[in-house]
Amino acid sequence: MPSKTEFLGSAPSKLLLAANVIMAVVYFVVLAFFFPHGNEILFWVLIAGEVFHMWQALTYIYTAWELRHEAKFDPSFAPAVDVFITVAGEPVDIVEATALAARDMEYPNHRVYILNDGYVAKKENWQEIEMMAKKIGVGCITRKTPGGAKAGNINNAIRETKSPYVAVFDADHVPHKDFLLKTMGYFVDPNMGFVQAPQYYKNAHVNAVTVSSWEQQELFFGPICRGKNRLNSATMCGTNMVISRKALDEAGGMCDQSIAEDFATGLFIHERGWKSLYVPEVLAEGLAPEDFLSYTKQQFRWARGALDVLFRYGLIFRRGLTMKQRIQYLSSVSYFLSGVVVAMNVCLPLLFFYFGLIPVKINTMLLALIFIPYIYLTIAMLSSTSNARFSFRAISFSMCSFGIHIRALWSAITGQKVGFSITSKRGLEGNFLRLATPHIVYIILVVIGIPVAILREGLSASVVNNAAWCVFNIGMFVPYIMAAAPETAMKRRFTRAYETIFAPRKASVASVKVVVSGEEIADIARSGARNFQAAGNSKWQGRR
Amino acid sequence: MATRTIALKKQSYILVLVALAAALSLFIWMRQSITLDEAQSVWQTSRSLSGVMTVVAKDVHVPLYFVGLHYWEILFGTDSFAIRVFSLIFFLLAIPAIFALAKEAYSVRVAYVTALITAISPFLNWYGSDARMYSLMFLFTILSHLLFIRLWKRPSRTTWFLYGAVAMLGVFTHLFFLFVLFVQGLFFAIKRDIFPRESMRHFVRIAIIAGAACLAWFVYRYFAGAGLTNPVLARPSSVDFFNVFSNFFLGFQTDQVNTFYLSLWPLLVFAGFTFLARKEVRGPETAYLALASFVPVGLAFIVSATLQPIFLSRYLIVSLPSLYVLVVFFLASYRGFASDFALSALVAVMLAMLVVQAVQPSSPVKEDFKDAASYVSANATPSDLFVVSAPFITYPVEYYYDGAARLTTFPLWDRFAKDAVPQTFSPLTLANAAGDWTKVYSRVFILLGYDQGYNENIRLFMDKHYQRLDMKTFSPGLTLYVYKLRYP
Repeated sequence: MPSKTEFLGSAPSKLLLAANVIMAVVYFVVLAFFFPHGNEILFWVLIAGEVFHMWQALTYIYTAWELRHEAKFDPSFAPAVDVFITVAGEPVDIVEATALAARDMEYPNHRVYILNDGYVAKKENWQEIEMMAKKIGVGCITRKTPGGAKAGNINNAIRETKSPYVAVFDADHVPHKDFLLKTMGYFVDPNMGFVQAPQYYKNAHVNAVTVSSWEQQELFFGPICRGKNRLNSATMCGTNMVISRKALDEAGGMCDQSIAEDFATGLFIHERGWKSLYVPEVLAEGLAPEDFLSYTKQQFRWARGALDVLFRYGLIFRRGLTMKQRIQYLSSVSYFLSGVVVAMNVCLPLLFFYFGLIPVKINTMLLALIFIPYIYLTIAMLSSTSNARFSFRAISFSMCSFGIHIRALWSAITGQKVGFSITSKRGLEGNFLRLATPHIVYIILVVIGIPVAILREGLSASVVNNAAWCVFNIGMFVPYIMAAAPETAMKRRFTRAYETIFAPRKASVASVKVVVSGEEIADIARSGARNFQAAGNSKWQGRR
Repeated sequence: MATRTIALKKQSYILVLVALAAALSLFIWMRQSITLDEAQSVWQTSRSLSGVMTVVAKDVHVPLYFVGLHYWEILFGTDSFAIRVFSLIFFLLAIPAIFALAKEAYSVRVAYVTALITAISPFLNWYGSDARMYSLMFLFTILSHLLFIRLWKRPSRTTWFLYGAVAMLGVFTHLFFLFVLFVQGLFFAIKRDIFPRESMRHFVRIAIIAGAACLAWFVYRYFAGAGLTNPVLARPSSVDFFNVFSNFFLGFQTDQVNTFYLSLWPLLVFAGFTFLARKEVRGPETAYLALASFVPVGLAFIVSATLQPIFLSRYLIVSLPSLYVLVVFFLASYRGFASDFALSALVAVMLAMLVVQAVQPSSPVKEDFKDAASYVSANATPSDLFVVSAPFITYPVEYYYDGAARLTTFPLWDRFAKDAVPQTFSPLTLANAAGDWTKVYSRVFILLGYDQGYNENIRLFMDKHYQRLDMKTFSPGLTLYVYKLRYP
């Protein structure tokens, strides 16, 4: 199991962050203003990309500048809480483990409800869920009128319950006994709208997909969420959270018009002046997607949901947010625009190989003189702010998601209707290489492009330099392509070899197995040691 | 027993590396021609102690190495072999020293590889056999790092005393050693909490003593006429910046090879990302060694670009020990075969470049004054004139030259006059000098090297007015032209 504390342990040096700001600005200014342009269109595309990078870097530094935050907490504050476990067809044993843990939480005044959406989702086991709830002595609210997916399910339960606070867990997110003891005390502040705890993946060690998912989470639930506390901008993630009923009512309930209902609801609560808090302690344990297809779907859902908030809900012009909160929301949402910038950057060497086009006429060593210190400072900053948890794999998966992000952007701009899909937690077997098609095509284009460039201008410094950039890009793509590939002996060997280079010493993938068998899941779930989420995973990450 | 065996293994390993470096020096580097700087070392030290102090004060350097070489020459003479052995000793001592540094900072594994790449480093092998102060500066830098790290890990009175002594000796070996002390001050300011409480007092005391000694030297220099023989250095470009690091690892290669390697810099960025989640790289040792590796190069570059050019890779040898330790440590932080592969590749590339540097005559650092002088000795007659330009290459030329033709410089330089500096070049002085040569001599052998901005003017003038009889390039940037001045 991955560490539950290390990702929360960073205390970055302000000197390092300040140096990074200076270098980011110097790099941008030098690149933008000190060199003659090459191809004019490429130049402006490059500059637009660099403006985006600078925005990302500066807002990250702004967020991570101060991670310490103290909020008023009264351990004796213990109002009534309704605990909701959202279910839409997940296996009964998985839901049971979560419900039992919720029932047994140490808190004087809470009642557990399973929000059973199996009936409206036409899942076969909806009645079994009702029976299980009765057996273990928790409430069960089975919705008969469909609509609004997970948000609609919660809103329905809100109408049927009365406690002033509601805690929400996804079906696989098993709360610790002290979850309510460590979160409810913050509601002593009457303006507290919601309190969010980290979304910890206890199955992170299973395969490359889970470990990469978790390592991306570590950056988000580490420095980003901790930094957002200072700015009263905690992100609502849809599970492992407690919400004030009053705040939720004022926000119009859970937003059932967005596939990122949690993120949008958090935004509406903030707009109405409510406070929020992120508790930097693992208080519940869930599961990461275990196969490449599920990971891709999850990423697409997050991206599309976020971009909807930007385009459909007009994030920039909405009233009620403070400037700090607006910056935080824009920063989170804009991460999903990075796909366009990544695609543009990786294509630059290809444009040079095939057409000799360059955006800037610059001596490559002069560029190196500015870029290398800048990027190494950035690496040092990422390492420092994430307490050395953010990994090569995580950045590789982030970068390689450019295809998903572009697809999400297109669907958001064109207003395509996208249904709420549930992330499968049972590893799906198969060949998902089609999902890495852009990356494979890129490699082919590079292999053909290098000889084309050499034939045109010999083994010049520009050719060597652009080829090196392509090696960089391909090096980033390889873990992603391997994760998409079907399980074979060759893949296992290759993954093991790649792991020796890129995995941190103490948090490596213990097994290269992609699929966990159903029996294994059931055994683990029954043992109470683990739980596997099957559906209803509707969390919002807002990661960069 | 096991501990003794391990200790014996370590000692044997280091001895083998020392023997390897010594053999490389004796069989390859010692056989090379003496360079301009080496000849200048001999010229500066072949006099009384007060004379040595005076000429060094007029130059850009500090006296420790030259005083040492002065006494060494009294014992062993000024033969090129003898004066180079003086430097070789420091280089050989640096091998166990860097082993100790890497072990102190990280681990025995890192120490083994760091010592190995030190022994086979093309750059260090070159300066390890160069009759200049660089190998001594390298040794003092290592010792300073070692003692400085011990100051926060396991301080003692002896460590403080030795650290202070090395600081003083280092400053009087080369002024760039001040960069080492600057980095240590910077690190202390950033990470003061890891040092014992009384450290501030000790550092201040050492700084005052070293500062006072430096001040005394600068006052002495001022009255001796400092800076009269300052070399003219060009402002460094971005390529020069990266060439320093290329030199450190790959030695002195041709522009073509350098361009190829340097253009691969995006791979360095990629490597950086692979170290992202390695907690072990975040200790204070890494922060200190990173500062020691890059701050001197960065500062020297900034000073050179804005104030006064001082950017030479050999001066920046103070960055090298920390850089070697750091790079080996990072590569060793990979797991399993990847670590072995990366380290083996580093060793293999450095070894290959060492061989290339040794066998390739066009290696840019080579200065074949020996063959140039021998050629003129064999071919010039008393009716010929041997002219060298820039004037200061007369030092290595006269070290080897024993021909019949008169040796002079252009522009004219009377080195033995008080506060002597070469005359200023102008087309008129060249025309006048050529006119004077024509009156007396039948041929002129002009050896052009270390271009100070006018070598091409000389060649063009002579080509235009006189018949060129011969041309021969002995090493990069060192070419001999023979012209007929008049017919007998």
